[in-house]
Amino acid sequence: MPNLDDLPANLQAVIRETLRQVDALSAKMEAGDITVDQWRDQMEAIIEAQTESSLEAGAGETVGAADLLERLIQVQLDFLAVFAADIVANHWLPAYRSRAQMYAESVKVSYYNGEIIKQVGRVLPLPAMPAEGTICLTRCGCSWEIETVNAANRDYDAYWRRGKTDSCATCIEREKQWSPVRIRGGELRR
Amino acid sequence: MTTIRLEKIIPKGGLFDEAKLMKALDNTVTGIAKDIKVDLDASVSTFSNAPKAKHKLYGRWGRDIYLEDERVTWLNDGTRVRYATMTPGFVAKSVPRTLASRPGRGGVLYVNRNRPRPGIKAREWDKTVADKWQKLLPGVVERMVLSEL
Repeated sequence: MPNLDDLPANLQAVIRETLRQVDALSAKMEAGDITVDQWRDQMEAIIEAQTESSLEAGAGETVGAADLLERLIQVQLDFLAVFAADIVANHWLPAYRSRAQMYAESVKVSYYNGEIIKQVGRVLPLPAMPAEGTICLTRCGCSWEIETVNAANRDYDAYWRRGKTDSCATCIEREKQWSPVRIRGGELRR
Repeated sequence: MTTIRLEKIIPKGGLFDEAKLMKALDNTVTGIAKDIKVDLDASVSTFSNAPKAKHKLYGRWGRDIYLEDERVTWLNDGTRVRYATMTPGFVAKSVPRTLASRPGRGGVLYVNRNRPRPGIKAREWDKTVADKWQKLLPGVVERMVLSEL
């Protein structure tokens, strides 16, 4: 089980539940109880449900960002298609259990989008979200802290906050360069 | 026979506001430029006198982000041969297709142009960063569009 201690409690809860479901599915594959197609169908269902849960956990309520949700899910389903093809080619390998667990951690991206909605009531044009494009991938423990300068003008300062144990090169550099990134009039400043 | 019929769906007060669409595109280009700058800077951050990525604008939506440094050119493109002999136990600060650098160990022992050695392996940071953000672009566009809705 990856170390989740640095993460907010409600995100930990979503990830733990997702891990439980993903691990149960991996066990069925290891035992030969289900086919690759069945595994993929069930993984898709888990990803869809848990991505929605994490967006809501981040926002603290039911959010109406259906487009965002659909996109977040689709990114993971694209990765899942590649994974399923690998399983067909190689059969189930012991290393696939931890690879499958990464889908559980991928819900962080949707959580942090939800968190931005919670902080300022809307999605902001931030250059990247935690776990998006970082070397630490879904293990990323960073977050955005938003300071509202003038909500009516859509002026915000966003600070990349690094998780206590997060020391990947991308996150360190983002902290240096993105403390803060400035959004003025809804426009990301160069 | 399968018939496919397309219906035009226009969101109410959505992105057909040209100003909003333009701003979403502006933000996408600026955001991706920031992402690429972070990745390039992280690729050489442990170098002595580490260069910083520069940012050149081409019109409204054109950007060039690059590291201007002779060492970076050699490493990025690779070389057919090298003339430098490294200290025993040398560990390079960078590795091919990785957008991060590490402390490394050792350095140049001597340079002898009469004794060419196998060349430097291309790090291909330019291609790696382009491949990476090409894949992640849809998510960034989505966020920028949503921020305007």
